[in-house]
Amino acid sequence: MATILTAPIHANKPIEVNFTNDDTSAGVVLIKAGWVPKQGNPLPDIPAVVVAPNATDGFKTRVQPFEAARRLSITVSLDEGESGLLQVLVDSAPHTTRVVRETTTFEMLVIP
Amino acid sequence: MRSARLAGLVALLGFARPALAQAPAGGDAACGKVMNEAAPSCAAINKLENELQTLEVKQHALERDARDPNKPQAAAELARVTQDIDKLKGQIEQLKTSPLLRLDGFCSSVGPEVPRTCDVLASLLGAFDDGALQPTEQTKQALATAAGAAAADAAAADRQTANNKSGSSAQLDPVESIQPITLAGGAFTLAGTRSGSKGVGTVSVNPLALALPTNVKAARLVDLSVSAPFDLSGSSGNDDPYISTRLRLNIAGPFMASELQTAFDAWLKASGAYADKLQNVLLHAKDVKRCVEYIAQNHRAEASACEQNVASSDVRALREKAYSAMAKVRREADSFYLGIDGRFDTGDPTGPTVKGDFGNHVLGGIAGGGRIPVGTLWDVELRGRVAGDVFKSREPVPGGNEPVGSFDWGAAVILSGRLKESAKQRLAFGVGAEGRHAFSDSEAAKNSPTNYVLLNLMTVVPALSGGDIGLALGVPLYDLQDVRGVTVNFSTDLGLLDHSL
Repeated sequence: MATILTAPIHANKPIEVNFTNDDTSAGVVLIKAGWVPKQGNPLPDIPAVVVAPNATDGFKTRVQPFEAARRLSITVSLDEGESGLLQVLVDSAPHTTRVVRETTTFEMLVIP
Repeated sequence: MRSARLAGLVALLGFARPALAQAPAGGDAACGKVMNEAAPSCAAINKLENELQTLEVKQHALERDARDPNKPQAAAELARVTQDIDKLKGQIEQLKTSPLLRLDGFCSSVGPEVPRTCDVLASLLGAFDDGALQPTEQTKQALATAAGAAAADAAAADRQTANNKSGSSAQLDPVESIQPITLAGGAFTLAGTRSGSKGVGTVSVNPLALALPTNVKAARLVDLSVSAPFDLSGSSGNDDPYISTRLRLNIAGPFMASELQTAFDAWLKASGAYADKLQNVLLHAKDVKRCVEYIAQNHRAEASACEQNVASSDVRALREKAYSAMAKVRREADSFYLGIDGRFDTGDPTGPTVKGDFGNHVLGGIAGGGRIPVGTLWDVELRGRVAGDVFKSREPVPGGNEPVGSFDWGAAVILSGRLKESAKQRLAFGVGAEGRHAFSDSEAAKNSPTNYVLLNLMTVVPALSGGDIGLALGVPLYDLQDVRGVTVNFSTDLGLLDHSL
């Protein structure tokens, strides 16, 4: 269980998050993301994504305004012995590529 | 005109001065200073962190290559990369000389494009609650439980009972599950019926799983099965052709995420509120650097360093709840289900012995079930079904060939599990009852396959081949018409399951 800050993301840019669950994983991996609000601002939900072993799945959304959101929080929930690769694209450009071997929350600071 | 504007600006600045004088002790300038002071160390840390991430991705790829017998060099390369990773980690740790730098990933978040304000600094510090210091006993327990549950799920591979043969002489489960097969499967059943021994072939296909292999949500939705018997007793010429189709639609899956969303929302809101409070603390702190370092180290603010107390224990508690909800959703996705059971049969499933059984059947209903874990190896599954059934005979029967409507039901308890955690195959024992009762007592109803109650018993054991063998008994407890006798069937899968495709 880890919390990791990644490089920041610019407000209002399109963002794509994908996770590839390794073929050695025995079970599904759950990806749940959401916006950490600033001063209680209401922000949209991001649906959970279930990724089967040896499969890739994710979600696309748009970075919320700087005035409304502090961070994008992405939790990759997996079990001991499972692993996979998280890849984030912002504005179609590679942003973050991380190997995930334990349940991890990636926190992405929203900046103007 | 220009001088008038200039005078206005000067006047504004004049008013602004007293306001700045009353600004909080900390303020954005102090927060910015703390962030700027970290920047030189961060440059070196970021360089090594980037190298580390590249190596970790390489290591990940090499781990796969090392399992490939065609890539003999991969293992040595993997060992070298792993060594380099350990070395880099040591170098990075040496550079992390302050609590702020030790926040995982802090340096990657303070590039020159990041505003140097207390708002932003609070967003960064607020990402870590006090649970990040060390796992609590509760967290350890929750993780251990989740890991055990997930291991049990992972081992619950499809068995031949995943093929839907409900209502036919090949039915094995006391009441069939509504959960679709993972991908595709087949089963062969020997059924002993009153009209002789029959072989029944069944093929089940999950069309969405085949069309959308990466979309697990869609893959849990629907499957279609077709069964057809062939005679083994040498009297094939007397049998009318029979074919059955079964559709299972699992509608519960898409609604499973609501509890997770609620838990996640509560955590995100608490995390945002925590950062809001930290922002206020930083704006008013007398010694911002000291306060920041205290928060970075302890994941909370305290009056001794920041003149205010702000705890993050509520954030930690809600985060742990969200993590538990995630683990639970993964387990529940396979454990609870509610769906639609649809069947269409034409012909006579038991042969020509019982007059009136040859006809067309349409059944539609709701089925549901849930698995309750009993330890890490076994679970008890409860299943139920209520449905409406319409039958129209295709042979002359007393009372004519009018359609007969019936209420159909089923209920069962199944105990299934593994002998050890690593086992992929499961043992299963089930007992249940199914019944059908006509809405009217017409002559046609009395001569139709309705108005009965069956006791169903099932045993499934792993086979050496990696498949399963099942034995089932259907014992009539009540039959208004001719008692159709005990149905015995012996079933094994055809090796078509997704794991071998």
